[in-house]
Amino acid sequence: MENKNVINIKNLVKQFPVGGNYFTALQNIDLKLSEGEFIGLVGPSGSGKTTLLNIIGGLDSATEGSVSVLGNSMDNTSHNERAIIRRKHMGFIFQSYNLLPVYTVYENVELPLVLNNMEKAEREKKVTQAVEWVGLKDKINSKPADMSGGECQRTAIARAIVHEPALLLADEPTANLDAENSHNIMKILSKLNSEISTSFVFATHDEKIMGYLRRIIHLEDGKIINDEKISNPKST
Amino acid sequence: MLFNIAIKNLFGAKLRTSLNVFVTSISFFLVIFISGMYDGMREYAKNITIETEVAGGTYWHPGYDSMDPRTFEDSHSIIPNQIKKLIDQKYAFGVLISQASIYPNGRIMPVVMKGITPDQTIVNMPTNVLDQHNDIAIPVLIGSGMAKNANLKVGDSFTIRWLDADRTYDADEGTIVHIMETENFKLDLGNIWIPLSKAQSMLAMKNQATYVTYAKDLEAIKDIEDWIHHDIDYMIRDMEAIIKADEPGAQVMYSILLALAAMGIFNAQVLSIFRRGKEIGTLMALGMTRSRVVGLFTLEGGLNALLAGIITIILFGPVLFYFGENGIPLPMDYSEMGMLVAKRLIPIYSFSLIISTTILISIIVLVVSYIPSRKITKMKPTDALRGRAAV
Repeated sequence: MENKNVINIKNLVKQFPVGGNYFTALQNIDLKLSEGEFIGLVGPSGSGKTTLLNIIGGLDSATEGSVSVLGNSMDNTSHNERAIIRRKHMGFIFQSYNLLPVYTVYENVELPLVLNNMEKAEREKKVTQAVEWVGLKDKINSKPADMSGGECQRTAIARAIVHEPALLLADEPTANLDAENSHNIMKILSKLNSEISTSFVFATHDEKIMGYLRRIIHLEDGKIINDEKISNPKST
Repeated sequence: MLFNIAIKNLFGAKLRTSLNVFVTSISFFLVIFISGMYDGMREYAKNITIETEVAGGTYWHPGYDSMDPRTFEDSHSIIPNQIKKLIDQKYAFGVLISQASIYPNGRIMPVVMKGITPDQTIVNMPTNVLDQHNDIAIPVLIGSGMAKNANLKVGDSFTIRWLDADRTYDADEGTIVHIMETENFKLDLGNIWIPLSKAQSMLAMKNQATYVTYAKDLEAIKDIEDWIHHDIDYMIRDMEAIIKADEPGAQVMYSILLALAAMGIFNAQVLSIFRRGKEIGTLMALGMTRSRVVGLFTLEGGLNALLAGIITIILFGPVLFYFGENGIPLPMDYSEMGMLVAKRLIPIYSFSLIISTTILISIIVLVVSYIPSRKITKMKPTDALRGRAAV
């Protein structure tokens, strides 16, 4: 299952201007991720995991070094080119779900397909399938305000995977959920990982979900301090 | 695609859309209504002059100058034949003017005494009340302003003193037979109206008049001897000049109204868009390009303006129509100040006012949708996602 590189990062440095100086959020990051991997960027708050995730997703850019995602160099690409890569090949899951409040579950999940100009009939088929994957068929016409946190996050997952992206980036997907919902979400994600060839990257410091990860990259003060392969994860 | 998303966003966010549309709609209504009132006020002065005084136009005695009372005494002659024919056919009526003095309640008041054909229906004056008063020496019609100034009421009698054609002063008793409510102060303040035949007899000016007013839509006659024809345009030229002179003022007022409306729309729209910073960040994270996000929000603004136009027609259309038909009563009588302002102000909504307001407000909505969404999309998506957008 794990073969070609999905992410290839070399000597990545990310600095943010703070006052008159620069704060180094990431330094000397070298990282390779292969297709179908289910990995976690783990570390305490401020360790740089979300920044790294954003750079991989093209939401932010590196100060130094090179970043290649799905064969596309993210170093000198325009905002529009990065947006197109995200739209076609990536899915995002956010800590606070980021669902559009005026849309129903169906409409939220449908959005990436609408942005990809997919035909209505095909959209309907794919949305139904994605909603079934996350077990929200009975809530398909509900709006986020009428759903629990777990249901909202499952909707966000359905939205992230509906166009079957090559790479799914999840930033603290279980941080707002209780233990039961966290396990449910991780079970859904690991099941999806085994059923579709999507690679998963999590930024997390939630102990509950670490057991599902097959590779854990430990970050501290913007540096990778350990790259650990898990021999017997729950997700297998 | 953008259109479908914009429609979904608009109709999905019922409260937000309702508020934005309502604010825009109120702006539409207020700009059209207040500008219409102002236009109505200016047009009213012209219309009331035509309705109560000018009708289709006038033929003046060559010596008559309506602005110079010194000409009144000698400005009278036998009405030329062709004009007389019009009067006989009820297409015109004569007015004979003379200076006089009245003595109401022991006071002396200089007045302009005007003899008018009682059965005329050409101008909007209740002159028929002067007819059929054989028991009264001089039946008199006055306006309510004059009645108030002279402390007169219907049935009151007073002495009228005048100078006749033979340069002889004479006097008789006049009795108020009616007090008219007129919005044209020129018919009211300082004027007393008596039957034309009575005036001709009192002034020893048989078959004479100072001017003749003819009905609307009547062609002017040419054979009028030395009398002078003044058409409707000439008679209202002062009003037109005032309206023209007031145009910059009207434009300033329109601009102020539009600016106020723009501020209201700007507040509602900008607040709404900046509150959606996280939504914009999410759309960008899902792969929507910056230009498409700006396009989406500008399109939403355009649809907002369209909806506001429809809501204005549905919600405020009947209100505009009602006031357009019935007017708005003013709290005081401005005619006493010598101003041609209606007691009931009727707004006029011109086609150009409605079209220009619609276009300008739509442009405002589009601009205030475009600018903040452009500003947010220029932020880093990571900041937009955190809802860090700020005005």
